[in-house]
This record gives sequence, structure tokens and C-alpha cells, in this order.
Amino acid sequence: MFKSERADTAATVSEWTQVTNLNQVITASGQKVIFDTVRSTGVTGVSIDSVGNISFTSGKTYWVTFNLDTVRSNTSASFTFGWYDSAGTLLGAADGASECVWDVGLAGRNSSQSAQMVVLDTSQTYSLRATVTTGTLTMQVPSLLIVEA
Amino acid sequence: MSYTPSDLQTGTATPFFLAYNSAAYGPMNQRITYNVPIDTCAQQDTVTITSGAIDNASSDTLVAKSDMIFTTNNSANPWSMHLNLHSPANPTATSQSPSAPGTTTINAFQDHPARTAYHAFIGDEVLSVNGTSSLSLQLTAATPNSNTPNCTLPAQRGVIVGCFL
Repeated sequence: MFKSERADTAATVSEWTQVTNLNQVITASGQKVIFDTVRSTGVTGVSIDSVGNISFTSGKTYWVTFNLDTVRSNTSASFTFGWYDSAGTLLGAADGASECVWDVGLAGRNSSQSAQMVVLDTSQTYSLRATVTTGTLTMQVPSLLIVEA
Repeated sequence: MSYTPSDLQTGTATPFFLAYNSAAYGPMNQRITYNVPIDTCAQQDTVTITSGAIDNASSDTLVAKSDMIFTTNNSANPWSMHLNLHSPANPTATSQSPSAPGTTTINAFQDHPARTAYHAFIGDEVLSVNGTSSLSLQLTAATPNSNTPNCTLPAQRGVIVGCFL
């Protein structure tokens, strides 16, 4: 698809992070990352509730990038963060989602500090959840950057 | 060039999600350029890919971010790799951070002195391309380390995500 074939829809960029819930502690798998503060270039179609459920307004598409900033409880702590749908299903690359990982050791999955997702299906509510293999995590300044049009 | 946040509201954006989705790719253990064969497009059926490159990107501006999660095959030896996400048809129009155009560093590090395995992560690999004909993703073994890397890329662990603007 060429640019001329696409609808001339204004793009909005929003950035979400933690302020009220700064230093959220992740102690168990399934915990959702909380984003309580947003700034944007315009009216955003994204809303996030107090427990980390992310909703998207229909009629738009969204490019979502999560950038991790965390402190591990010890040097062997390992974890993943992934995108989940309303049913609690982990989304993979075929769904348009990628994980970020810290999985140390030979033959382990090595690290990535970003998890991305493209959202076309706005009927779902999404969340970013942790899977903690070892240790606990203290979030520092996690960032969620969303481009929507 | 300077811009204000309000400028961002005047553009269009069509997101795409590309992934390497086949069997584990590798091992990548020689000082050669490895072209990661991105083969799957999800969430945007208007983007097609051939031989790891986006089709129909000409006369468009796009911004993208790549990400890869490797599996290491060796330990105890210091090594590093470079990720190179660029548009081969027009490399001069490619901007990357933090290295010079054409070289975005994947750092290798040791997370604890007691460990012998080294781990790779990709830093700030952000790409913007303007008016180019194709986009591909390449991995290049890095210098000056004396040891070559040795890793594989599992399915679904290499992605290019972004949007046409």
C-alpha cells in the first residue's frame, strides 16, 4: 500500500509511564505493568485503567512499544514481559506481538528490553504481564510509546 | 530540521509487524554477514515481503524498530555482534542510533563475574528510511573482538515493527 492509498488520518503519539505507582514491584508471574501517567500530542484513543488493562478506540491502528527499566533482586533473576489479550492468552509474533526477555545462561534466551505490538483488533483489552522465573523486579521508569492513526 | 509535537499530528501512520517465523536460524558463528530472512507479516496485510525485505516501500517514509532475542551457543569467550537494519537500496537515507549509519551495536556483556556465559542484547536500534525501495535486516559479526559470536535466532524472536508515515 502506498501513502496515497491510505486514509489521511492524523497521527497521535502518546507516552505512558509510572509516576503514582513508581517502583512497582513484580513478585509473581501474571502481574500486570501499571501505567498511570500519560502525555500525548493530541487526543489519544488509548486508555489504561488502574490495574494495567489497556483499551484502544476502534477505527484506528496502533503501534505500541514498551521499553523496560527495572532492577533485579539478584544476579540470577530472570523474567519475560509479554502482551496478553482479554482471555489472558499470550500473544506471539503471528498475532503481531513480541516479548522482552532476561533469561541468562548458556542456551538461555538472552535479553531484550523492548516489547512491541501492532493492534488492529480493538475489541480486545490488552495487558502487559510479567512471567518471573526467578527473583523479583522493581520497576524504575517503564515507558509505553504508542503511535496511533 | 526542527519540529514541534503538533507537527506529528499532520502525518499518516500505517503500522506493520514483520517477523522471522521459521525454524531456528543459525548458528551464526562466522565473520560473515547474515541476512535474517524475515518471512512473516502480521497485523497488516497490505505489506508484503520478499527475501526479507519490505515490498512497495518506495516513495514512502517509514520508521521502524527491530528486536531480536538470541540463544547463545558458546560461553566463556568475549564476543559481540552488530545488528544492521537498513535499506540496501538507499543506505545513505538510513539513520540509526547510536552508531554511524549502517552499524547499530548489539552489546555483549557478562551479567555477573561468577557466570561464564555472555549475553547479547540490542541497544537503541531505531531506523528511519525515506523514499527507498526496500528494507532488509542484516546481522554482521563485529570487530574488533578476536572471537566470533555463536548464536541462533529462534522462531518468532526476530521482528521489525514500525509504521509508514
